Amino acid sequence: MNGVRGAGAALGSHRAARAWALVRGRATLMVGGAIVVAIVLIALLAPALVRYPPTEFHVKDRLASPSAAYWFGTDEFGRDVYSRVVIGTRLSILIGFVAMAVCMGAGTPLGLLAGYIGGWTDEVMMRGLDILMSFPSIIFGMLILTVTSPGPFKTAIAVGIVYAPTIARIARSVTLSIKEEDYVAAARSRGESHLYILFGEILPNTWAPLTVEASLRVTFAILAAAALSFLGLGAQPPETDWGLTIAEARKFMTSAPWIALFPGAAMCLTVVGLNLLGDGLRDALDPRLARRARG
Amino acid sequence: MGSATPSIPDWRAGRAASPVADHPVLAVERLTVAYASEGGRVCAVDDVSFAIQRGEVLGLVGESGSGKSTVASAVIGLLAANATVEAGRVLIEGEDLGALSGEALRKLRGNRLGVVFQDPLSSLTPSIRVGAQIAEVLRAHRGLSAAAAERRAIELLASVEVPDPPLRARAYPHQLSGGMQQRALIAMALACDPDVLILDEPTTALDVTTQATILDLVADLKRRVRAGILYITHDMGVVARLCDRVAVLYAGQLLEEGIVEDIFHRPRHPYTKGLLASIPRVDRAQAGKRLPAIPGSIPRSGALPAGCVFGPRCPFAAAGCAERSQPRREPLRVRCERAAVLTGAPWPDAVPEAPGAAVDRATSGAGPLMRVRGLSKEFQQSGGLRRARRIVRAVDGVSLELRHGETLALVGESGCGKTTLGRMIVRLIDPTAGSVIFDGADLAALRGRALRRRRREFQIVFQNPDSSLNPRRRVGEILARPLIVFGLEERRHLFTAIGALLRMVHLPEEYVNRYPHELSGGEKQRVAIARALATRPRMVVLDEPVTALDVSVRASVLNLLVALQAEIGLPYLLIAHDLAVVRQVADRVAVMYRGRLCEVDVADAVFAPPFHPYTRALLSAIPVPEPAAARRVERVRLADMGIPSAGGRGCPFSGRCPVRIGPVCYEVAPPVRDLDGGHTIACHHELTTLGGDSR
Repeated sequence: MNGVRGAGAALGSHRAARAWALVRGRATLMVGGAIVVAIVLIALLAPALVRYPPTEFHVKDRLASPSAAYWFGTDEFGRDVYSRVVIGTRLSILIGFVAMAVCMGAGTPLGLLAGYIGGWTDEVMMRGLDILMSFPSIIFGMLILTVTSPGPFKTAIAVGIVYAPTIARIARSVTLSIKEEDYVAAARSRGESHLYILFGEILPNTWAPLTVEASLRVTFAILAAAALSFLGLGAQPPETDWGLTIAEARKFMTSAPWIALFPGAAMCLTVVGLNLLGDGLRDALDPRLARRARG
Repeated sequence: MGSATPSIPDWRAGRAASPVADHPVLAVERLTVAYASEGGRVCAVDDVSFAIQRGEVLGLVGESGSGKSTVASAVIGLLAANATVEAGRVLIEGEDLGALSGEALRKLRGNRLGVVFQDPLSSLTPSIRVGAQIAEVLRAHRGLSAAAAERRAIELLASVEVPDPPLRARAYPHQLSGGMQQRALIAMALACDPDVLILDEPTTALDVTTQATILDLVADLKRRVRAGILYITHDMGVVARLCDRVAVLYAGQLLEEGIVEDIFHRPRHPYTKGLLASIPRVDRAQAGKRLPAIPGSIPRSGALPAGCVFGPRCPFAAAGCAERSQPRREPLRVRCERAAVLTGAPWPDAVPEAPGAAVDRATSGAGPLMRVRGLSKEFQQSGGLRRARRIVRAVDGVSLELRHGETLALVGESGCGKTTLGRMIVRLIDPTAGSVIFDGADLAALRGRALRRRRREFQIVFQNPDSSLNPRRRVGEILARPLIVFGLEERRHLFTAIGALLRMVHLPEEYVNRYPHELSGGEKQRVAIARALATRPRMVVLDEPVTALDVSVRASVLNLLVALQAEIGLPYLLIAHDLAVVRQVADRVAVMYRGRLCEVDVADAVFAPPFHPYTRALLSAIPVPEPAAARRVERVRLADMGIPSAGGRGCPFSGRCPVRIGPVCYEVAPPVRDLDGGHTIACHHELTTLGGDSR
């Protein structure tokens, strides 16, 4: 490992080597990462993976159980559940990641500012976020969606806003400890601007805890988006995602359980994969654990 | 002293009163311990053997990564989960610890082993009264009743010289001072009259004057208890003061072992020689301000050099040293093949300062560069809901002068306000009152852009190199930033300028692409020094620049600072608690206590009478790295409690002063006695009383 570092390798391969050193030998990180990569690939390649157009009716084969022709069976209109789950992956994953990006994008600067400025500003900002956090997240998401017209992209933004306060809290607590570090004092002794200190000195040191949190937030976002879709506030037919597919399957839960089972399983696998990834990242990036491992 | 304190009765009536002669009380035999890490097996302790007899103190000396803490953990049987004892064994009175079951080991740990760790506050449970914690040990291991255990706990506290033991027994740990907490822990370790007492850096977290009283206590315990004491430390002065024999660890290997006089007067291993030569001494300064230094830095665990572990840093290394690991020579008890050849060979002297380079400090420049007048800082302590806000004066009307090209040392114990003062001068903290006249302008009054423009002229080097470099930035980026901010270098010349900065602090230019975590502590501090000097400042505040570094790299960093000063005539304000370091490099010294200055003088004269009573106490508290001298010193004992005249205008030291006159000390600010040559002492005593009859 030292050899790789010391060889004066090009910047890119140096980074890659460090990333590999982080992943190697960590089962949770590798399994979680593999699941997440696989699901993202499925989402990207979905049109090539479907076996029938997801909206095509096969009237003869309505509510068919899983078979060689229909791997996951068919629904009440004879649509292929497998194809609908594969296509649904796109929207579910997209909503998850967009929501994560929204909550990171909104939460991180808020937390950085509150932690850095401190005093009354901090107090006012954090109490404001507390108010947002006091709403049950689904209710809050519904509130945002019902005042506008529902749609998948708006779902993502609503979910992102719902989880932004959590990110802000984490960013704030990290900032509080980092702003006491001597390299921040050194920057002040050079007369650096607050903007540079915030984004040049403090922000790069917050990414480890925030990356961990972000990977976990994607799962929350996917689940929340699915719940909102289930309630009819997310994807609108003929578009589909997992939440909507499950909602449509509700009537046939006893007679044709596969319609709900497979999108549910897909969601479950995604959540497990992202959680494993998040836990693995936490182990790999948590400075205390990492230091202990290094001896 | 010993007769005045209650003795510790023998609790083991059943056991033989005299120890079995042929068993050392603790024996470590060929111990090898390795950690499993991501990079594979890392050997932390390599074939280490030593033995301790009853009533003996063995000093286990080592720097970070030497494996001294791993040895202690192995003896206690509390190794980390990823550590394995690969070979060797630990025997207590001939009984192999490795053969004991978990339950037997647990019994033994409380009964026959007593341990005191470095940080007293984290070793005590915060929510249980101190007396009850000690009593708990007695109830668990001795089966005493609650009442008997409580009584015994108070006796134990008395035996470690805790004043008013019944009162302290009822206190919670945070209500005791650091020294008192450490005493309580020692009492706890002694509760069951152990066979082996392990003291793991017990005074490192304490102030010098508190350390001195704890060392006195341990020296006294040595005579009173029957245990063998394993004293783990990195401080050679402490070793000289306390230990009978010394074992020197380096990179997991025991390099040399011997009786304390031999180690100090006839060291045989090159590392021991280097270590002793390179530590600054409070009793004498090296000529030309240069210390003989050990080159290089401590090898990282997991990246040990081939052959002799000390080989790459050894000036005596011969052809074969890098090829084969050095065996332990039994009759000599030193792990160096060339030890016999090197008998009497001294560690090479420091390279003398180039003639003419030194700035004549006494005469250069008309008037001081910086004049600090009445500088004060008050902090408000929020008092919660009921209590009123309390104002704490961290710095209380300090006046100082910094002259051209000189090093002014600001000395004092933790909490005396020296760091606050330093940070006020470089305007990281805004002063409450006072002025800092620097080259005609009052820095304390500057605001906004005017301040920002002048920041180039005064820079600061921080104590902790781990915290002073941003872990996400490469060395090159760290050094480039000040050059860019102050527009000192054009972009295209940046790379050359950074290379020059690295060369200036004796680091290879390849380091531009490294991240801080890839550097050793000493190297990080060099980068921090380069960053401060990159702005070409006119004055630098050095806030404990070597305190966080390992002993063997301190000398080379100090030498670097001295050399840079000689080269560019840069004045330093050196903030330090270590008087030995100060003696080595300072031109003048200011002694600070509780926010106020006690004494200011030319460096050499501070170390000679007349003294401020606090200066005298500080000086006498420092253990000199020389056995005879360390034990001979007449110590000025300070009260450990010292509740000051809070908010009062009296002498800040009056609460602890051993020679205070009376109410006048508490109530009236001491007059500043101005002696010849800029020597000032703030004390009510006449100079003759302070030992100044000869002046």
